[in-house]
Amino acid sequence: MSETVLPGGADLDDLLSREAIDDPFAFYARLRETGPIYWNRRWNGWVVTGYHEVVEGFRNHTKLSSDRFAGPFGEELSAASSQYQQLFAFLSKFFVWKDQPYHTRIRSLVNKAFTPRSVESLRPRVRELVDDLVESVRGERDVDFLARFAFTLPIVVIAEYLGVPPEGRESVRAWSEDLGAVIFVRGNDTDRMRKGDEAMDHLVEFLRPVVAQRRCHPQDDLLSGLVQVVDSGDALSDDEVIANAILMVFAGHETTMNLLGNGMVAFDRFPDQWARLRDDPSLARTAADEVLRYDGPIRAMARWATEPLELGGQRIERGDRVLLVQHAANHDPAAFTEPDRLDIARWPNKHTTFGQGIHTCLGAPLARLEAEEAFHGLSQAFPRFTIHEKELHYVPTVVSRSLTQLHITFPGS
Amino acid sequence: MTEDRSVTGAYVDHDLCTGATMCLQMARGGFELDEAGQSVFRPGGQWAASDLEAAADSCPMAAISLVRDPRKPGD
Repeated sequence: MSETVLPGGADLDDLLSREAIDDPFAFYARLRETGPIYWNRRWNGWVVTGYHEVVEGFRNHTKLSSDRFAGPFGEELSAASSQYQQLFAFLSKFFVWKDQPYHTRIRSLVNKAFTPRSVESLRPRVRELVDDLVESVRGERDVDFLARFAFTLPIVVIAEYLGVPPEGRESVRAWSEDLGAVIFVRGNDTDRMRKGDEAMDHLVEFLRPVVAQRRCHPQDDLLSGLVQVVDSGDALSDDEVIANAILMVFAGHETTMNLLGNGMVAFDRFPDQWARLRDDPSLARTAADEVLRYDGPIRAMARWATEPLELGGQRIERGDRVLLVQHAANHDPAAFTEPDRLDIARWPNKHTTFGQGIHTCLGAPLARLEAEEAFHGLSQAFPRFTIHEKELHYVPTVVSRSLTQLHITFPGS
Repeated sequence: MTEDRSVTGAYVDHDLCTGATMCLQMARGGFELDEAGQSVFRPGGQWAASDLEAAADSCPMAAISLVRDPRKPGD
């Protein structure tokens, strides 16, 4: 084996090694020091870790494609797609995994609902939910933080905004988790695809009557909004509405849940910043972005080259896979002073966690709002908290930065 | 949204702009991308004040601020 082995013994090609998964700060720093872009034999593609190179990669959407159903990713999926038809029929309509013009058409239609001004109207409801959740954990010794707080807040917010009936939310959570295994490439291959296919089937069957009902009786929610644009010039088909509603449910909670969990771990590591936020709640806005930068819920996003290009001094050939490692870019000293320190007043904060370019996270304003309100509410209620896990572990995926579990004691009043 | 006639231009904050290009969708003549892929306002482009307002509103990063002429108050 002639893999890139460092003096410390870590295999730089193993993006799923224990160190890469549980201590990406150190692991990605070593990748970046080796070179801002390098060929990874195991992942079979270019791994980009320098800030400027990651930003450039994201913004070059004409040569670096997001299409999962063409190119090298499409080849991998084509065998599976005949066996798991429901899964792929709907995944292939997720606009996040498409290039122009489909991507831009759907994005322009749903963008209005997620602008900073539109989501600002949700702030009172988000604050109310945070207050309720804070009271529900007050004085409890062993709170499963991900399940009881970090999951509940975003799933209720996105479900209410879309108009998903409350009685379906627990099922939606379970299906969404199975779908997540497919999207974040987690776990055993065959099992993942089979469960993902079933989950997609359930989600579609759950949403289809809701969408039909909104067509007859529009309400003040996003599903009604998506259905209504069908009747104006630029139309969404029923399946497009359902697919992109599933995308929003999924994207609207999984990542935010991990953001809140990672944030508590970051504040536990920097208790002075928790005290600072408690003393000055006006820092909640910049604190949200700093947590996104310091240890955001996304590690990396994949692209593939539709044409040859130069990036970071390397020539990328047509058909090559390219992994843009946002977590690494966010700790590049070329872009951030003292990158490994949490500074909740850091501004400007040009982190890459929401991506860059035409695929910049649609839900960014909502994620910021939820994180702001959650960290504000929790820091006001609790001067300190205690994390139980002696060692924290993360789910082994190349794409997401998700804790396996997080248990916290919150003091009583 | 009623058009504010005092809007005479726009400014894109490059500390915030990610190149999401929603502004180019909303006001095609009002913005273009620079070499780094960030949006810049085109003072000489073809745009209406209402396009610029829609563009500023559509930005997921709230990177666009409107420039207003205080001598031309809105309706």
